[in-house]
Amino acid sequence: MSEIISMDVRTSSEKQRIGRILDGKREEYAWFVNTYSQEVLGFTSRLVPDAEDAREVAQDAFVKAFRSLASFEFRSSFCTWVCRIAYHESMNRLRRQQPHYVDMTEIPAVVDDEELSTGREERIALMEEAIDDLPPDERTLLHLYYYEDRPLREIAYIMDAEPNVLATRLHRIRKKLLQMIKQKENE
Amino acid sequence: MNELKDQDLREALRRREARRTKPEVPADFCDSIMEEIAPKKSSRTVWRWMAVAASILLLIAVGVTIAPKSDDDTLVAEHVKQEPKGSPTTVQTEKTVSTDALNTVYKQDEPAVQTVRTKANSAPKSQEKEVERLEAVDNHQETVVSSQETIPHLHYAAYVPMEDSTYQAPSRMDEFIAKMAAFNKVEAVAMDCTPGDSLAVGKAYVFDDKQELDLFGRLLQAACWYDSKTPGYLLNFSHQQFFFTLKDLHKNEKYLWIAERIVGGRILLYSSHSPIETDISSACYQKYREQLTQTNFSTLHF
Repeated sequence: MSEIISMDVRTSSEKQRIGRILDGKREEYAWFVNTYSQEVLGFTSRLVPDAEDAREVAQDAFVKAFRSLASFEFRSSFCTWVCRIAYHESMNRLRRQQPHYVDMTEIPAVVDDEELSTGREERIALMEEAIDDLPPDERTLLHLYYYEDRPLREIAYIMDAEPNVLATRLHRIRKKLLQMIKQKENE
Repeated sequence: MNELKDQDLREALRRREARRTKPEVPADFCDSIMEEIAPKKSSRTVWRWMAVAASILLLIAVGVTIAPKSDDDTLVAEHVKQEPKGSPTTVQTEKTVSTDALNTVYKQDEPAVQTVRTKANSAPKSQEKEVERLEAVDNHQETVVSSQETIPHLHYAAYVPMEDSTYQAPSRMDEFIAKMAAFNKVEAVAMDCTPGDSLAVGKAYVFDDKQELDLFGRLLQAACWYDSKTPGYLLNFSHQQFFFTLKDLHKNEKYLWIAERIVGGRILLYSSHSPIETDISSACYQKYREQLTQTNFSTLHF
């Protein structure tokens, strides 16, 4: 995969700091942890419901990143790279705890995009509940795409998937959400 | 903003995020990560060094195991026979000396031969008895050599030359100077600095101070034969003078060499050796030096 995320000023500063770490200046580790711990912990806590587990996953992600720092190719920012590691760590942990997910292929294709956005208050409240019921990876995908507005290529890097595959998944999740909302409205 | 609008979905996510309590980073978050990184690196390094040390020990062990198997004829074989039970137990040491072109004497022979030699020298009255013992040792040695092939188990001992390799006779310095003088056709002048003591010997040489001879350099090289811990070692030199003393405790003698650049492009080399307790005066040397520097060199008869 070629360079997928454009390098910003922060990334070039990170590059210098990583170079210093590789030269033996260990104090630079602390800078990365202090700068990105909140963001990475927030990311893992959305994926892993238990706060203690989320903290462990975040720490493991930092440790793994630092240990393989020499192999970091700067295809993303350091934080995105750690989030990618954290995502895989989280999913592995969740798979061990909760091995079965809903098979999305069984969700019937019944709605179009217009029906999902009505602007009605009660629909938004039901949508919130429906999002809570989604599996962690789908919730994360929605959050990264709609709330954080990250480019699909960057989300694909974090979730280790092709962008077109993620686009299809987003489409299916929206249909699934509408189905879940309709069920809630009928209850 | 991403192209999919889905306003209801965005609003739901925004509200959900606002409702959500953000996780606080624990105080020990960074410390835990640093601890995770640090010890594993050091333990890896320790294991690496342990592996290197183990490899070296293994190589040494293999080397020690293989080394005695070599067919080296110059080693001494020792065979210890034990008498049968019932009789008083005695250990008989048999010595075998291989035929070495250099006639090297080995450690096994050292105690017996040295004892015999020392006693033969120091006690002339019992010389006959000691000579008999020496012959007995030689006979025994011959017997052992003839039975060498029948010895079933050979135990190899380390080769130790009988001579003390660290000892350098100071007289070698004199021999070297004498050879150098002979080569350059320089005759020695006898100096009697201790009248009445026939054991004190003093000689003076006058060399041409030529670059190809490089007498000072050669004398310094010869001085380097001797360890600075040699008894009486004192070395002092400059461009003008070379001064070197040694003691030979084996022969109870002290040695002195003085070389000095004098007028006329010459080097005066004075060498003396005498019993350690003898007082040597430098008056004769001074006198000869003055004689050389004030007298036409060509009129002197060496």
